[in-house]
Amino acid sequence: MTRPRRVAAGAGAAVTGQVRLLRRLPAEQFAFRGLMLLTGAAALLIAPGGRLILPGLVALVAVPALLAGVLSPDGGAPAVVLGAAAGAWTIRYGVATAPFDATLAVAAALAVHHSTAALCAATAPTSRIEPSVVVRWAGQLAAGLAVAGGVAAMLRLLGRPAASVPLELAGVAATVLVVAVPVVLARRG
Amino acid sequence: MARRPRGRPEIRLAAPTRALLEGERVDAVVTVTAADRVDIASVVLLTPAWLVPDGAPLAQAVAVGAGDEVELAFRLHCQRWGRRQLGPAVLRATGAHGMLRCGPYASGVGLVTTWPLREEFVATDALPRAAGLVGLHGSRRFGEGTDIAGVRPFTPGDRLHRVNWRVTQRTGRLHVTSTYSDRDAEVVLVLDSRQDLGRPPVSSLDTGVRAAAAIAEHYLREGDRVGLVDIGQHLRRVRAGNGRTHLVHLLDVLLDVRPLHWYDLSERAAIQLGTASLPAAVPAGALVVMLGPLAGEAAFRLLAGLARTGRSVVAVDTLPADAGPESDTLWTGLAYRLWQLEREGDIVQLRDLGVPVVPWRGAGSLDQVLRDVSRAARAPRLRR
Repeated sequence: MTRPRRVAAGAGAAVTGQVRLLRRLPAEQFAFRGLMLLTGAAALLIAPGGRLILPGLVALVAVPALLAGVLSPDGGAPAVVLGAAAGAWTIRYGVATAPFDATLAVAAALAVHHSTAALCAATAPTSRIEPSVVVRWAGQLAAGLAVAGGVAAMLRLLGRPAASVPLELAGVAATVLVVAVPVVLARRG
Repeated sequence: MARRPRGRPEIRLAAPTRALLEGERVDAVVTVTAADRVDIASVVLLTPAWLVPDGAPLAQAVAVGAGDEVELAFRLHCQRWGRRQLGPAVLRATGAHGMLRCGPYASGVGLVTTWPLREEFVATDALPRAAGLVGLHGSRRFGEGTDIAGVRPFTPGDRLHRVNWRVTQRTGRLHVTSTYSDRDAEVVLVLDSRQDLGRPPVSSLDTGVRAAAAIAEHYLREGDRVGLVDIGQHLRRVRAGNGRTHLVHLLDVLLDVRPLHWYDLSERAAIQLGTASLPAAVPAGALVVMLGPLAGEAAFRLLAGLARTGRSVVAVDTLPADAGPESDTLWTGLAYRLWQLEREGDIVQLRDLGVPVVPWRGAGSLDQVLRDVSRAARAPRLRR
């Protein structure tokens, strides 16, 4: 008299699964995913600098990725959001001097989005997060933001050199080297 | 990166080792140990059906210091009887500020046993043909028997061969050795597990198993002998016995009860043969309590056969009140109504044969019925 229920198939099943997952999220997971959504949306809003035609379109394309990243942060969606925000920013300003406040806001939003996505990806979706983990995560994030803010403030006080393409490329290359070299060395060790 | 973890973290699962009761809450403890610091240790405990988390989710993220051992307790609620595998617990570790990840690492698994005892069954002591002072098996009542109950002072009426001379000599007063009386009351539980109607955890099989466990516990506690026949599984019989060990044995057998699938044709044929020979296998003086949804001709035929051979038979109807067909087509309702009418007619015929049919209502379900059966068993019989 009892029969197994038919399993919903296709896209409908995926949506149902995601809705069911959202209902089961504990409060802390909900808060962190909310923070991801807020910071990602802020970065995608600020990065085009009010220009809708090309930078705005690039940011708009990343909106589905933002939603997908909130639902499954361990996938590639958060990277798409970061890339789209950086791309929109580069297209908007190129080698021209960007406004200081907007730069700082985009950088902070992207840093928080990235860090929150990493935390959510490291925990199971239905997982409770111990306060010690949150404290450690918040400390690391705050330290990173403080260092970046300090450097930015110092640069503002020192004054900026004139915009130049080779200088910007050299800066990007130096940043990549500073981050990548220790990682490669550590992995070899 | 300089302080990145070099060894892999370990995970262990400690499942409850004792048998649990339905509705009981229990902790499963997962231990995570790491030689180096782990920023985030994400632990997920996999649980079977009917062993559900009690409030908190079954996943937790913790930080583990170098050389530390972190214990995580997951509270579980046992909702249904059975033997189930708990675990494994799965660990994924993240270190070096999220740059390094490892896992998943799985712990071992545990076996959780949940006994089908939810409510206490109480019945009047009206057992048909309970020969109080004869037989081979002990009861809890004092009287003439072989099992020693203790030593007590002599009272008028005690037999002289019961005098315990050693104690009498030591105390200076006459003492006798008292014994338990031997009883010959035997209860045979016949469980019809061929079908499982309704939705777990209140399906017909659930009710049948719980009722069988409760009745067995009650009569074994009273010192009677209880046997079990599962007609859903060929040759699955437990001989009548008594005592606590026998109860554990019965519960152990009940844990493995499964309904038959429609494609188990050879099993069905074997069961039909076994069912046909059942009346001959049940002792003449035993009280037969059949538990099942009373669905299908075979169950009624078996009950009628037992009643015609002069045995005291009680049928416990375990069909849930809300059981019904799942699909709702044009003819489903009508067909179900016809089935119900046919079933009610069969139950009336059973009653005419002297087999009381009672729905299971927990404690006291069988009081009135047992009194009636007992009275009927004591009445003079006409031998044909």
